[in-house]
Amino acid sequence: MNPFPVAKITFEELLKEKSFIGLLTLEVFLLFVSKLISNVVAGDTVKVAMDFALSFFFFTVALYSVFVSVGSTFRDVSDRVVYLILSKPLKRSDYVIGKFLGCTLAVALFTFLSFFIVTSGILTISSTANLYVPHVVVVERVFLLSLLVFLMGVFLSAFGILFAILFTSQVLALISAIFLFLAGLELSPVKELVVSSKYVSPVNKLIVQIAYYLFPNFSLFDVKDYVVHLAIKVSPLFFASVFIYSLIYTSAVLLVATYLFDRREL
Amino acid sequence: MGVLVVNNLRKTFKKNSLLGFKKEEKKVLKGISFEVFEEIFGFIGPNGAGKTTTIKVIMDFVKPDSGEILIFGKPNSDISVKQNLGFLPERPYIYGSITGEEYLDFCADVYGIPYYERKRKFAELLELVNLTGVEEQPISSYSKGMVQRLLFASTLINDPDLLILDEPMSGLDPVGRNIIASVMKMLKEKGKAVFYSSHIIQDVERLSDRVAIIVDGKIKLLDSVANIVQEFLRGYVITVRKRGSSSLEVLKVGVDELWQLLERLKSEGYEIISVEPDRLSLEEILVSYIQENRRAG
Ligand SMILES: Nc1ncnc2c1ncn2[C@@H]1O[C@H](COP(=O)(O)OP(=O)(O)OP(=O)(O)O)[C@@H](O)[C@H]1O
Ligand SMILES: [Mg+2]
Repeated sequence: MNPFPVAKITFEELLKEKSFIGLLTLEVFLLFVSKLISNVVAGDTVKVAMDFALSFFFFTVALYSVFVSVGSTFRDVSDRVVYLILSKPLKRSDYVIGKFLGCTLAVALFTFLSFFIVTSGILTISSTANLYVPHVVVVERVFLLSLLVFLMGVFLSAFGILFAILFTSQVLALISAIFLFLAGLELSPVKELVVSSKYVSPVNKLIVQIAYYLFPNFSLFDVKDYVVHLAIKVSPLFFASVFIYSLIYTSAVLLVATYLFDRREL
Repeated sequence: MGVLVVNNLRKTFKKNSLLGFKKEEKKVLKGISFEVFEEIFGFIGPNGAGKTTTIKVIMDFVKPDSGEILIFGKPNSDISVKQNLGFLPERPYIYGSITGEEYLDFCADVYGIPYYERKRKFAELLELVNLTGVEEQPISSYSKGMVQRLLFASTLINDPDLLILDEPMSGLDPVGRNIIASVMKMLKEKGKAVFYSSHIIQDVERLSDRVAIIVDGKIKLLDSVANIVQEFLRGYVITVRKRGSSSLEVLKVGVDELWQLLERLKSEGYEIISVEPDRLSLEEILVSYIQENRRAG
């Protein structure tokens, strides 16, 4: 088992990609957009601005994770970089795990920098308004949100690698990963709707409920309400279980990706 | 036993036609066998003959339908054989955003080369392919030939006993080709084995100890370059001058009649300027095999 050389070169390559600095710049821009929106929308200006800023943060990290994992894995195969890598004493599983670790590092750095951008944005916005928001608590909560967003990015990267291996078209892999993410965000409303409906048979309700628990649930990582509404409390147990959930699910996805890549003709 | 043994390889590619209904099968390798010792072994054939496919099977990128491959006496799926192997793919590519040194560092990481040895080792390799001084520039700023030479040099980082190169010379200018050729010769002198495919037959003829000609998935001819050229000897071209005359005459003669003619010329008072073999070049031999195959198919 030697995934580290691939992890290192993947990370080096990803940092120099345009998407890294590009999406970070986009995030700064979106902070201004959030502030503008909050001026025209009715309601508590600071809360609305925070709500938008954090949503943008959440989606940017998700988008970055998908782009980076799908793009870099797919290009390795189509540009024949895998031949250089796999001609060395590295197993195919070393490649998949190395790719994943490299993406994880890139997502970690991206999330960390985003955390600084978003936090300074939010603090600036809240200080310009004449409202009292306890800064320490907000920063602490944005940090907790960032940790979950990072976990989500890692989880999505595993899917991105899997889809890049599974599909023969990069666009298809990207769209599938984004669709999976969006579907995984809207799981519970759909489940509630189906389960409470009178027109759905019990068998189908059961199927939907099983699918609900098996399908990757990305709404678990979306705790921005907890940051925006200071009255909301979330137990540490919730954070722990989300951590374990993504750990197990990510490993399973990587296992499948390795299995498929092992059998793939290059 | 040879460093690389390839035994009766067969490979079919399944082409899924639209919607995957009718499955089309294409036999690409039809029983390929050869053995490479400590020598320079050239693998030549026309486009689509199956050279790259053979090499991909050897490297375990693609599984054969049947057949056996041994590298250093071990099956090629054994990852440990790659510890002692160097490989350059066809039209090699590496990320443009990293620098040459970062790529070499990646290779050194894989083989666990300690950091204090790297600077000297990298300088040595870069010097070998005439790339000294570019290691800190991003690879996107390199020319195509520079990338090829860098990646060629990087295959030597683990001092491999077997080198497998898929068209290492294509896309290089004569100087670049000469660099690769001289490194290959040097490796052979050190007792290493080099297996390479090529289109550039003049290079193959000049460089290889033995060659295999592959046409349409089958090996048509496998022998030393000297033997092949000998076998395809058509006769001799003799240049003579009548004593006292200033103009030259050129005569062609069959293989068996050489001595007879020489005696006669001598007795008739001719001065013999040169006697050269009139033989098919490797290129002509290859072309004749391809044409023969076309007629048969
Ligand atoms: N993955 C694949 N799927 C289907 N057919 C393939 C595949 N790879 C190669 N082929 C076919 O196999 C044949 C041999 O291809 P290969 O690349 O081995 O030729 P080659 O001798 O290396 O040619 P060249 O000199 O052009 O590099 C070709 O007809 C090609 O179309
Ligand atoms: Mg080829």
